[in-house]
Amino acid sequence: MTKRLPHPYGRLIDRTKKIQFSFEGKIVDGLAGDTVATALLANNEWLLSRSFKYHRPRGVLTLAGQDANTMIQLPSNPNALADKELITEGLEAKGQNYSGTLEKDRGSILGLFSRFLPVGFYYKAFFRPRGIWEKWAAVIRKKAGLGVIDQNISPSYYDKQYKFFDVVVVGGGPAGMQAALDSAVDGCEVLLIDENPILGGSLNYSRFDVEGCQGQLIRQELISAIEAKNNISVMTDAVCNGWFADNWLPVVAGNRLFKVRAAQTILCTGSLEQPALFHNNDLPGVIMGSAAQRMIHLYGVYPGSAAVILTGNNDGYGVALDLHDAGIAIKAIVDLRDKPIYDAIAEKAIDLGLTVKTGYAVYAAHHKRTRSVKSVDIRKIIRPGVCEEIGDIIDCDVVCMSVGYAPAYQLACQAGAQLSYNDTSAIFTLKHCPSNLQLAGSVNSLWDLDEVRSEASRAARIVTKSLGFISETEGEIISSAKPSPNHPWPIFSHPKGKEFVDFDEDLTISDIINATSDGYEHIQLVKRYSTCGMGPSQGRHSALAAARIVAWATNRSVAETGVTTARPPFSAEKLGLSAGRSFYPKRLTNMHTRHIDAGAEMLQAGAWFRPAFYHQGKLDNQSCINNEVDNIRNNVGLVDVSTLGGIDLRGPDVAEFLERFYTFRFKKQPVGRARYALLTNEAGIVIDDGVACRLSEFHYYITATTGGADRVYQSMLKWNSQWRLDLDISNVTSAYCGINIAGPNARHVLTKLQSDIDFSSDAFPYMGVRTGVISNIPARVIRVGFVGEIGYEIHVPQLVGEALWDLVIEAGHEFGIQPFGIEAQRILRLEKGHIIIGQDTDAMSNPNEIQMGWAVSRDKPFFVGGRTISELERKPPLRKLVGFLIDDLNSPMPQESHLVLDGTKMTGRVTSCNYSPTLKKIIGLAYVPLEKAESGSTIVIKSSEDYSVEATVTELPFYDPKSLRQEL
Amino acid sequence: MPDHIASSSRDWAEYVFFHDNNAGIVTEWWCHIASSFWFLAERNTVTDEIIRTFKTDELFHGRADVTDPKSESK
Repeated sequence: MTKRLPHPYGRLIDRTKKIQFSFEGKIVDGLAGDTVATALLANNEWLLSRSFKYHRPRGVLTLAGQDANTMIQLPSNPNALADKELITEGLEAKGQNYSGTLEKDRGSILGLFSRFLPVGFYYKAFFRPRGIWEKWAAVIRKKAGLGVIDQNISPSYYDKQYKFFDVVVVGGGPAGMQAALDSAVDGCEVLLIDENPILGGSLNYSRFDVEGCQGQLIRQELISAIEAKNNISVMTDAVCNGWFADNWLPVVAGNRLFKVRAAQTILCTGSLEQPALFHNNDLPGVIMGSAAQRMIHLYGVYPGSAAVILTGNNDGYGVALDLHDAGIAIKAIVDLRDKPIYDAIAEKAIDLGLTVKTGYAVYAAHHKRTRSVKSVDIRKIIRPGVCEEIGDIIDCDVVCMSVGYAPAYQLACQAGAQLSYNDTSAIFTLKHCPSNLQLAGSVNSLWDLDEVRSEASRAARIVTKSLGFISETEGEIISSAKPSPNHPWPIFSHPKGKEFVDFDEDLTISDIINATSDGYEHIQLVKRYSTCGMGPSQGRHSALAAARIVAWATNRSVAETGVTTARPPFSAEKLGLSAGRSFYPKRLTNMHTRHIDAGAEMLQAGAWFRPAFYHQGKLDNQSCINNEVDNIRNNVGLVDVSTLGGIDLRGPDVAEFLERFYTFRFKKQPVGRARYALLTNEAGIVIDDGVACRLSEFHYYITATTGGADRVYQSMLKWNSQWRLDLDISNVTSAYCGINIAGPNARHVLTKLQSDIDFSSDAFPYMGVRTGVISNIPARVIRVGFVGEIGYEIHVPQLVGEALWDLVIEAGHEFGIQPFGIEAQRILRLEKGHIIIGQDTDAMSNPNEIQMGWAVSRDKPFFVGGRTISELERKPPLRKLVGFLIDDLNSPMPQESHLVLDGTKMTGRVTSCNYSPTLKKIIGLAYVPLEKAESGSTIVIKSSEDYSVEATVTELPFYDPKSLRQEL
Repeated sequence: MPDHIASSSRDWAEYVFFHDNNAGIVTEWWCHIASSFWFLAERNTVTDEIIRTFKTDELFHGRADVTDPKSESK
């Protein structure tokens, strides 16, 4: 039977909605709003998991989703945090990392051998002989494993959203709420993020006054004020999982990754309560003071019936009052301080007559069978870390630790802030934040509510002033008038050890000291050698203690020792969040619906959607493609080339610019003619190609590859910002549509069109360019080879692309014109030996290697890449791109990237390969070493694991070697 | 850019393939992708602070002649 504290305890639960789930096969009753951990606690079940190394029983530590003790197995979600995961009806939860049952874990025997498993054990034991680790790794990993991945997991939907704010406040506690409120001046858009289901942070559970009502009053006041501001957006159940340059914040909420850009960020990430180190400090039932307060106030759960409070500050007395008010017996308040300075809350606890043991420590915790804490051994402290020989045993079922805090420094450190340690206050403080980031609240070492709110207001004034919203000054820095809540040395080593520094990795005080004795004195090395801080909680509860111990063991200050780097993500992040749907722009040409209507199978090439081929009734895909090829070679077809890049260049220096930019000569190019244009970078590598059309003396229209247009355009602008030649360059790719009409009957089709352009062979020769009108549509027409037949490329304004498509289809109807897709286009162009930049070239391809030396002018003063190409030409090339033929049609067709072998040595690779319906042979292009580049050489292509095929190197082009057909 | 005719192979290779990775203030090329506008920025690579941004004509004055590559600012 579950027992809960009465209303208003249990802020997050709904007592009217009962939910049943199972844990370890046992049915558990919970309430809506419960986490797996709190529902189990309400049923007095503490045991959640087994520890990583010694398989020790573990339960709730922080109840804040900040530790690895609560990691459980959900059906399709390993390592779920039991204190974060809400229960749902029928949920099947299990513990993880045990053999047998969670209650009786056979692996827990490892704890008995802990003496033989010292720090660095695995490194030392399995370092030699070579290969021994591989042998043992599987066994050890099974013992030390975490969770099971569901390999039958069904896909779920993840996506991304972008948000932009003037001010983003991370953390919705008192500091965050106040900072958001004061940042929300007129015109300033503010986002407030909190990882919990409701705003309020510590106001929801901590005790700020004697009566224990101030927190809720202030929370209500702040929430009402925030709700009244329509320029504050609030995200709860959302985690800011990192900080990247210029306040670029990944915020995870459910299955969505928000990418938030903030002009200014205020971090109110708070602080994390830290454990005390004593024998068996990891027993279920030994928890943070704040965890007990969360249980009571957020979930209405009894932390136990008899409590011992271990404190080093006045916050522990607040915890005692909270437990006392809830009817839990306070067996003792064990105060580490010798001469405490009490506040009103502590005085109230003393007035109530609660037992206080000043100058005492919890030296050890004990358990019997129940695996939960049953009593503690408290002893008088002689000097820091050392107690008297004999102590008192106090029976209890819960121990609450309140010995200090560490700032939630992760995001601030990612932003470049540095941690320093003050030996007097024993607190890590953050310094040197960038100018677009402020801190407020306990992350900034302030805990007093008035001080916290003043500091938050000040941070808000700083950011709104820097954004130009206000002009008043921010005021003085707030420094706390209150004593530090951190005890400098809550660390008590025990002859039997088991005083855990790092709960994730089962590391004790001696493990850390031994790591320094083994010579690893730097904190980063201690981390890697001992694995301290490498577990799922990433040192949140071990960094402070580890730094103190390493400093003590190496005779340095804690500030000098420091902490290890806290890289993003702050909390575990599902891969789906990164992999989920993103924003990829999609570009459709003006003729898109015509392709769909004609039965096109579309494919995405970069951002563009292009027809791969057109379905023809029930014919199989390859036959459709082959028919499209045949129709070009024997009749006429048309293809949408709107995706080609188009760049307009105008001005007196246009030819001079092109001579510098491309490899060819252009100055003497006649008006009305087109020229092939090859582009290299400064390293002499081929990066793009196109056709340069001279429309008038000072006007060129240049095409670029579909994927390369933007890059080429940017490169042109970059060079001319240095050369400062007199011309204008504009990217007109999206301003034009293009259609290529090709085949022996192409001219017949064009002459059917109403046009002022003379398409006859004499008036419009191969590589000619004409501008004119086709049925009132202004057009630029280029006679190019493209697929090796008579061919005309017509470029018209984008909006009339579809109209032109219809005109050409209509004009070609009597000839049986058919559209063709890029599959057929690739085969046709391969038959002509035309290379595709990026497919047949790579990051090392220079013009000579790819048999394009003819497109490079050597007698002009300069072009980009010219000097490097002339350097390269001083040596023979290492490889050549050649054509190859395979006569045997039964042999498996080599694919792109298949290897060219010489014996077992890799000497080259295939870049393109296809069946040529025209030649009835397999044809392709491959890089081969120079000695194999001669026509007639035989090369061996490995086309599968156990099959190689012989191919014959052939002169290019494969089809119509003298290129007579395109010039007819 | 070094003299593309007179410079040694070594110097040319240095220019094309090797780049200093300075800790401190560097001048970098930046491109505003939406408008393809190129500009220059002085940035501190240690602090990632942008010290100033400016138009390219501040470094490159007037038409550069390729037969005399020295007139092109580096």
